[in-house]
Amino acid sequence: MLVHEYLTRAARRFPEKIALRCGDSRLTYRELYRSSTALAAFLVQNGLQRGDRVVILLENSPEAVISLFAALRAGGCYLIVNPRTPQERIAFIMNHSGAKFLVVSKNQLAWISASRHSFADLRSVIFAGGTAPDDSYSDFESACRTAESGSFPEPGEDDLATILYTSGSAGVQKGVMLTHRNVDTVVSSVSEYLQHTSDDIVLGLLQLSFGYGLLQVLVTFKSGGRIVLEKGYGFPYDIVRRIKEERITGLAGVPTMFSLLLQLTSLEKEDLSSVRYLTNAAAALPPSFIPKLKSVFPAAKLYLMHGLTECLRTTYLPPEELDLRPTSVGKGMPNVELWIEDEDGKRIEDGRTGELVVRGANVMKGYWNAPDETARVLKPGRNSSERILHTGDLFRMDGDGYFYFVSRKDEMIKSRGEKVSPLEVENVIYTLDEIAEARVIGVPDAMLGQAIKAEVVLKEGRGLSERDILAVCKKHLEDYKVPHFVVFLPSLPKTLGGKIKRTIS
Amino acid sequence: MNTTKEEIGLKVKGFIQENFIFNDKVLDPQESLLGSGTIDSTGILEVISFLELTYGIHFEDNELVANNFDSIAKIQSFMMQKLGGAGS
Repeated sequence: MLVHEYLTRAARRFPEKIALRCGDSRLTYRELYRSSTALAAFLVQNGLQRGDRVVILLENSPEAVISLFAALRAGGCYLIVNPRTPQERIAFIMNHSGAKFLVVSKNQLAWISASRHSFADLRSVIFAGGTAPDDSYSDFESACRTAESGSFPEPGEDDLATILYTSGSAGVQKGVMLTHRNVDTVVSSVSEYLQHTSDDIVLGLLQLSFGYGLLQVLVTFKSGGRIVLEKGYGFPYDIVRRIKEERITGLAGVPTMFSLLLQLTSLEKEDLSSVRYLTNAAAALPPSFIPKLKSVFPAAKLYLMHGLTECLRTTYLPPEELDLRPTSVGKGMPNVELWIEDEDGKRIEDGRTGELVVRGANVMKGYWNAPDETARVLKPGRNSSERILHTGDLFRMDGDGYFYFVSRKDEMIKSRGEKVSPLEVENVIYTLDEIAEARVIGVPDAMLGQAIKAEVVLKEGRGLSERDILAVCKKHLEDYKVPHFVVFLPSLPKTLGGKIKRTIS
Repeated sequence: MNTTKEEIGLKVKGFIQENFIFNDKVLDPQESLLGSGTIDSTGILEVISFLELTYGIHFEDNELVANNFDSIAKIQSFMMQKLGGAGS
């Protein structure tokens, strides 16, 4: 099934039902369908051709959801980029993906106006958030009233639906190409194990630019449910209030978010019994959270899951197994085959640690315009036509076939569920003239999975504070890549060859 | 000494500017901090902790809502009410 058909189908079944609530705005399936179809017509009339990329630089909002369905309906491929991404990174994504269309809000207006001429393939910028500042922008509201003329290109299931940019180990951004079939396979499997129905009302607290955040919306729309979209989870009592007010049934979270919620001392007194499921992914949930979550959400089943951008989702632990194996992420989800391989490519089934390998229709088509990087992770499978994914995630399996995440195979740090390249952070720190040596490592942290620690050695006679180092990191890196601790050392451990040692001894 | 609305505004603005803004963005006191992408979810909590530490107060669970903290103007009004109510 094509991803935008979720909306078409739900609009036919439940035209008057509220599909999306975000802040004070509420949209029915019919309204969402009409706006996205009109915007699709606008895109086609302005030159979008099958496969063209549409970058959506918006926070979680109705406009972001309308834009993504419009891009797909028009036969294009969308990229949702978190507006908090550093500008140089956004510029890289614009040019690397060859984006033809860009949807922005007023927060990015100033720098987009100044730099749009440097985006080589950009044809049109759509301004969402009021009247367009000048003629060089198209107005989102008006574009959503475009009359249809002619027909839309009809994409197939093997057309790209989205490209999700993620950090590679060398700090270079890689665009994960996912087709309609890739996305729909995952959405169908997740809907199946969560037993999602049109009665579900899901609280969407995660960013749509994040694979997990996107899935919560698509799973909801495929089943004809309702999504209550929030811009973030910074205000924990608002979450409680929203759950009660909207009678939320499903909540997708990450450990950081659950931790914030559980810090509310009055939580036990709140009636959160409408929630029938909670999911956790992106980082391991500390086992101590499990009894607390069960007591606060008495009717909820808790699903522990694992996934990565390159295939969106791999495993889930059936809730009935939770007490028995609280640190496992479960078994492969429906329609996916998983195993663990040793360094020689042999399957391991005896409890030793090895790399997780994924085979299934969820596996990406590769990294956009990066054949070498692609060949490193997608390898020939059982037959010559298929490619299996070597995840770089180290796992072990227990005697009953349940999987346990151990660590990353490469040096990548996994913090807040996102992959962070130590090299990328070190390179930013090295831009400070006072730095002689720098090493960035991951240290275990209950809430983050791994916290990022920067160890630095200053040049002789030079002074620098922790704040100076954090400031340069915050300027050039996404929030989740900024170190949590900075330690000043007289020297760093070296290998015999004089290189700074990577591993913590 | 009584804390004024202006002082609170300056302190919060200074904290946000120093910790979260590394380009030429100008802070609009009415603008949603989370909605405008100025600060992310975990950053909001840093602002809340900063206020607790600076003013030696504690926020109740039901005060941790966007209506009290999602813009500089909202923080100013809420803090005035909170500090006034606490009799400081």
